[in-house]
Amino acid sequence: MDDERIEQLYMESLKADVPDYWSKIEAGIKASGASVDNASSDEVTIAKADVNSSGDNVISFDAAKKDIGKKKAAKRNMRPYVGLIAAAVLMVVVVVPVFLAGFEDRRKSDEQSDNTGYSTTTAAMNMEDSISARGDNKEAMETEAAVAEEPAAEAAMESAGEEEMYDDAEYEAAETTEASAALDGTRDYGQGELDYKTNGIAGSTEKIVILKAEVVLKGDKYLFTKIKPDDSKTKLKKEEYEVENPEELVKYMEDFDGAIEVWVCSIHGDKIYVYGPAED
Amino acid sequence: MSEEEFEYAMREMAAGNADALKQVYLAYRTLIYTVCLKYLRQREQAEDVASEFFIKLFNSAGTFKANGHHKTWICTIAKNMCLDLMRKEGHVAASLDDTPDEDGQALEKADPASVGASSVEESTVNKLTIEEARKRLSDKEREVMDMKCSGLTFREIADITGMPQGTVSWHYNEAVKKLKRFIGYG
Repeated sequence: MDDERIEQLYMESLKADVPDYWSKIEAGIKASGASVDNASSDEVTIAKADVNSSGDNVISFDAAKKDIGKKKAAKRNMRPYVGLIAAAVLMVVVVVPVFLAGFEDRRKSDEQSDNTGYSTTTAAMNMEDSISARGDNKEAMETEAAVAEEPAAEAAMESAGEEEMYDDAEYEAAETTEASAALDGTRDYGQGELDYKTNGIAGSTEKIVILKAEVVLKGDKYLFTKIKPDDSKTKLKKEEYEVENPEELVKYMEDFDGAIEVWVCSIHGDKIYVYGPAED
Repeated sequence: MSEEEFEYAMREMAAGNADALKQVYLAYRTLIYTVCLKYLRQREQAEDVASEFFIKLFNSAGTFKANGHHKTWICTIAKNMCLDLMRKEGHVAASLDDTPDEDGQALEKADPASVGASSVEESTVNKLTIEEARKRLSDKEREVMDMKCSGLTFREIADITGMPQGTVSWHYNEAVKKLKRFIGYG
């Protein structure tokens, strides 16, 4: 038996299995307002209107195809906007925060600038106060030294060519009176921030040998303190020597050799501002 | 029914000629009913929807635009009507392989391996009628056979069912082989 014969038998079986529903169709068309037997074009038109007004688009294959086409077209039409939407999202997610961060940084910078101005002013004021206080302290110390009448200390001071005495506690204070004297002097040593590496001041060829030296009587001993840049020339070095005999101080004063000068300076943290050599 | 005949019938229906509808009905009542039955699985529902299909076809004949594939077109419409009905009634589209037959009874699956391997079974089914043999086909084989015997081409069946044309052809050949075997000609 060939395939055609099978198909034929199958088709006969299939048709026998399918009920005759023409009567239902006939009844349905009649119910919709059209007569199957005597259908006129007007009645058909009414029936068409009913179908169309029902909103059921299943019957219209073309309409279904158009709907599918519309969906595809809508997707296709959205494509150009995908980039714009992505750009907008990127803008919101990345650019705006970056801009805001930059704005914040600028604001903070402005605030810091304002604060710095204030701090500078305050520091200047503090500097002046400190300088004034230093002057007072100097007088007090001179008085104290006079009262103490320590000849050894005086000898040491003389050997150092230094009349000044400093309060041990005030390394960071500026020495205003000396600074003023230095600035009024004939020698122009310049002033500014000490460069540890050159051990000098920018614009000046003078070498600062020692920044500060002082001798104070501590009980029955003499305490000699000198401050100078350390060997690495990156920070200050404070050396203290305690001797009972003032003559012993000489061996600790080799730095004064050939340049027995005490430079007037103020120390602020790691920075040293040099005003010039102390005047005799 | 050829494309030209169908287009002519649609024009006649648009003019209110019910005889044209009858001609279309006679040509495609089996196909439309088969399609409806495939989706709805209930004879009465399939009959109702198939009837409704021809009514709407008649009523909307004036909007018909020939596209050269009228069989695919009418099958797609029938399928959409079934899907709409299923959607309205909350039916869940069931797998073709685990649904009952149109009588609501579990259909014995025609497993090609088991059928082919059992000569006893072959001898048993040897005396089956074509109707009984048809029921022993798998759902997809029966679907393809129904459409093919209703006059659709493999290409049209593939378009309607969504299966690749090669799969359609394969199901058809399997169905024919089984039918031959079941009715004693294999």
